[in-house]
Amino acid sequence: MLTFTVRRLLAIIPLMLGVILITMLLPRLIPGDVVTIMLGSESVVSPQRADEMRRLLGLDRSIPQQYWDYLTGLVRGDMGRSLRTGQPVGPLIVDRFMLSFYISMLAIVLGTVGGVTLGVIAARYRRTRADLFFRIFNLIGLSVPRFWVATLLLLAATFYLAGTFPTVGAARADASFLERMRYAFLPGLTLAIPVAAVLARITQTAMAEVLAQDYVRVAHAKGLARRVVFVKHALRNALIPVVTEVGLQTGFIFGGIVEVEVVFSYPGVGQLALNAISQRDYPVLQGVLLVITVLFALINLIVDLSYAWLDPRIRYE
Amino acid sequence: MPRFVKTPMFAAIALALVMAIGSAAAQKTLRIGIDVDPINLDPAQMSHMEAHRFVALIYPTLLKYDAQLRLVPHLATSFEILDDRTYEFTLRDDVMFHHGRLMVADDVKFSIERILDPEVPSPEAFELEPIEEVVVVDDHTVRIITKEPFAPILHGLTFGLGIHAPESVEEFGDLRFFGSGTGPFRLVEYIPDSIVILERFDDYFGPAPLLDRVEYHIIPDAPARTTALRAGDIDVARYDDAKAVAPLRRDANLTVDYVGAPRILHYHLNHRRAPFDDARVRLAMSCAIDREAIAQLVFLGDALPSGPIPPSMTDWALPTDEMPCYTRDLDRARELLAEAGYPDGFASTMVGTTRFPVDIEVGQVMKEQLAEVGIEMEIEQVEWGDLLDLWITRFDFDTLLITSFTGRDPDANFGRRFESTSTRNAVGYDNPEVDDLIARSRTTIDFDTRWEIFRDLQLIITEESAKIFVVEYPYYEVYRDEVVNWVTHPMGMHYHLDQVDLQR
Amino acid sequence: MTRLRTVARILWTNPVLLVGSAMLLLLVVLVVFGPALAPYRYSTMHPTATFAPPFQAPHYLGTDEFGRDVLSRVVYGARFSLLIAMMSALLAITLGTVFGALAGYFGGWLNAIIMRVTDLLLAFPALLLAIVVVAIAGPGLTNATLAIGIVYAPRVVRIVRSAVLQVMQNDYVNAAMALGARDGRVIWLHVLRNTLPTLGTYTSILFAYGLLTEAALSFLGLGVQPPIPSWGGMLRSARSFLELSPMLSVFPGVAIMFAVLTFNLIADGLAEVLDPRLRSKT
Repeated sequence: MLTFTVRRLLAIIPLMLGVILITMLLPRLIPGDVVTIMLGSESVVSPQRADEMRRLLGLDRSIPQQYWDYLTGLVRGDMGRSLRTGQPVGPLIVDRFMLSFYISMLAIVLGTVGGVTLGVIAARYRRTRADLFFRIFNLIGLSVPRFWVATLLLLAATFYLAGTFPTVGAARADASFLERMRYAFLPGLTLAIPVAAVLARITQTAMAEVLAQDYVRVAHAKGLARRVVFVKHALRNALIPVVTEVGLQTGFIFGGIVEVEVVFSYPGVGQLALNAISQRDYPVLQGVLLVITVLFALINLIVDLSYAWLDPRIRYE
Repeated sequence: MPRFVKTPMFAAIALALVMAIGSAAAQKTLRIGIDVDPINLDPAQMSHMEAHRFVALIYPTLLKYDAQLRLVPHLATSFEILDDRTYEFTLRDDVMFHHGRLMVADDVKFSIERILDPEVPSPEAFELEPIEEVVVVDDHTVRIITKEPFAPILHGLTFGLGIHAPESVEEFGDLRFFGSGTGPFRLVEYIPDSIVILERFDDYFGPAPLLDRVEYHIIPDAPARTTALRAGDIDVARYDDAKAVAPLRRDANLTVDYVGAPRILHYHLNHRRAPFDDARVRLAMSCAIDREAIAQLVFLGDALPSGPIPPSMTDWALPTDEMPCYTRDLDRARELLAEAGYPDGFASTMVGTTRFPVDIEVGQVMKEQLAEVGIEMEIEQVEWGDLLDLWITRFDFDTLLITSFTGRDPDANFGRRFESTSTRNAVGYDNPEVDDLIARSRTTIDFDTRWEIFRDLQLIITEESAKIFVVEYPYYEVYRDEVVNWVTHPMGMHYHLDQVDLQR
Repeated sequence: MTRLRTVARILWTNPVLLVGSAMLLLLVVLVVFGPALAPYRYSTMHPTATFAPPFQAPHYLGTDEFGRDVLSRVVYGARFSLLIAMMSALLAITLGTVFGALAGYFGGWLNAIIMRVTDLLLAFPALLLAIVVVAIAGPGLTNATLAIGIVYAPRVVRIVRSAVLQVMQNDYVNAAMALGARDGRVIWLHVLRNTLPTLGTYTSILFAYGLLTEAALSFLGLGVQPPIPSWGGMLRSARSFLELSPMLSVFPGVAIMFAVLTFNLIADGLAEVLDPRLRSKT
């Protein structure tokens, strides 16, 4: 188990070297650069002066040089500085990530609670006519575009719930936990819908499978209360695939966070990445992509490990 | 709290801020929703209008533009033109910097020289580059001498020069996040993509500000600003979209204010490419466009058709009915196209940017209007950085739509855009007569003579249809009823913020 | 005749597939007969009838900020949205099958390279990667299609590769190889054909992904360009008028949901019929 963990962790390193290279190259392929954008539409600047600005920002170095500098910087824990604002990228990403983290945490919590509940209920109606409705309901949850749900929630919040949930921005850095959740609620709810749909499906299948197992039948035969069997024997075991999926969904949520943050003007990593693209702020974009991929890889690892931990039959060599 | 605690002084301010928040209930805090992040608050690093607005508020200029866009005294009580090249400014003697020192002529000299310093390097430098020397006569008199007679320098000195303290530069290196100016409110904190916080400056040289605190919330999304305004999360919001504002007019708690901004929609036709090298084609397109319909359809009647100089610059703008093709004339358009050899029209592309959705709306209307004379445009929306690249760096477009703030001096409308040698002559216009007029407009200090030059320029440019000028954009500020004494400035400047009050 | 009967029987016993197919039929009708069905052209402006409310003649779904008929735009939108979804799915399937089959069949260093690149691409969130690709190539119908296709291709690579590996364990493949059949022949005849059920189901899922991603790109202004209506693009401009005309934000969204749901239903139904293993992965 330990060797497996170490090996998996080590395997992340070459992946990261590749990711860093790609995050280095891709943004630089976008036409225009940060200096063009900083100069904006009104200023009249000679090409020499513009090149001087590029030199001061270190944009005149060759790509291999920049790659090397970035790597050595990373080893020292330095992710560079934003070309646009001069802020150090590391702390900037940490700040924004926390904001996005609130959203994804809420999405996971709401999605898991909603999804598992629905799934458990659906499991009891498997192979009946009602099952069809659950399935279609699930698929609808997977089919609605996130930005549209967000827009509809925004509409509802504006017209019917004015003041209950803020629809713009995030809580200030000194706000209470509750306040932060209040700001993260609507974006979180939006992202919770597909999570709930997926989890409901998986819970239903897993529950149905477990309920058909011998030991559950035995438990029934022993005369244990139906509810006890359902919760204690079946649900616990059915949760194994659910846990896996929760992990995977956490990764996917970060993919959808962009749309939702745009709709709610929520200054999380998604917005940070979009702004970095539009400002050609290479270090920030690199940093965000890198952090997201590392996180994704780590989540996958944790999922695999917890899988082994939950189900004693699985052994990693 | 602040992300960059650079010095003990900063930390002390942060502490004061934390304490201030504690007692926020008794404070008058005005919250303004803005659409664009200033990105950099350093007076030497303003790269767009939003940065100018903040700099004008925190680091006042020698002169300023009043609501009618006339130059009026600000830090300077008066100025005198000693000869064609020398401007002598008399400064107020009661101007205090935020860090508690009286401002003197040396600070003006410092600010100009810092912006011109190649090591800085400042995107604003071009405004001040004609300056040869700054001479400090005494503490409150400063002479600015240009290399040659250069009339637009007054604009440069107003728009491009926020007076800042050398001590701040020494302490922080740059003034991106923090610095000492002389405005009615001092900068407390700027968190990019989120907020700019200002606090009342008690030793302000003008009338004492009535508000304790001003927060600028950066909310790029217009619907989100509206929601925040309705919910009372902000007190004032900015808009440039008539339709976003329309429903707010029905809200009894809100006042919708608007003025024509010196911001026009330029429809660029690339003279380097056929068929736009033919003036008849360009004029035909101008004739085919119905500016009144655009003003109605996109701006609900709040916009005015504009020539090369926007109507809000009342001193300089010619009435548009003196310009050819400002009344839609489809027959004339077809005639001109036929003469140029395109009786059935042609197909081309129109580039616009996602950053200004209103531009794209206008583009869609123009597309339909041009189609009536057989000109088929395909719209291509690109992101802001791409547009700058196509428009400014590579001149790689057939036609291109962009709104821009022209500032106040008409030189910005002509010199930069139509002089054959200008790096910003995006359409590739080349007319020796125009070059000559532009050169003369700069060296002519006398207003009336300059006015005549600009009248001629406006007529030539529209006759040649060097570019198609469409409409002047309205600029909206919507505020809640608690806000008192609000003034909407055509350039979106908040000079008047010292007079604004809240009555809750 | 018997084939038709089999299809009918499958549809009858699989209500999900039945509903999905009926919805697909409706979409196909919209795409094919759209211009005939739409009461107006998608770009025709009615300056005197802007923001007309829905459910009234002559604009049954109302009009937008230019007085363009929303019903017509939604109907035409089906063409562009589905076109992008189809082309990008096709691209992803082609790229994914070629590379997945190569990796699975030949193994070795080819497999190593292909799978490392695949892992690398999969490490990025799909939408973010699509946004970056469009930022590089520029927005528009073609580039959006390419971006979506490229982003989803790695998933297909993985599926095809593991399907290939599985099929290759079968004796008949080994037998064919032992008999000296050429690689191309073995890949095509024995391996790929057996992955078709899996691929068929996944194509439908890709349609759904493609529609959603295209909508998101257009919503961010990076997809199809105006005045061509794409559902995501319509929602983008409708957002400016959320208060003035909230219904503008409703219809295109319903259309996206309907189309995506169609393909999700079909994928789900197909999975049940063809390949039970995929079921939980939708």
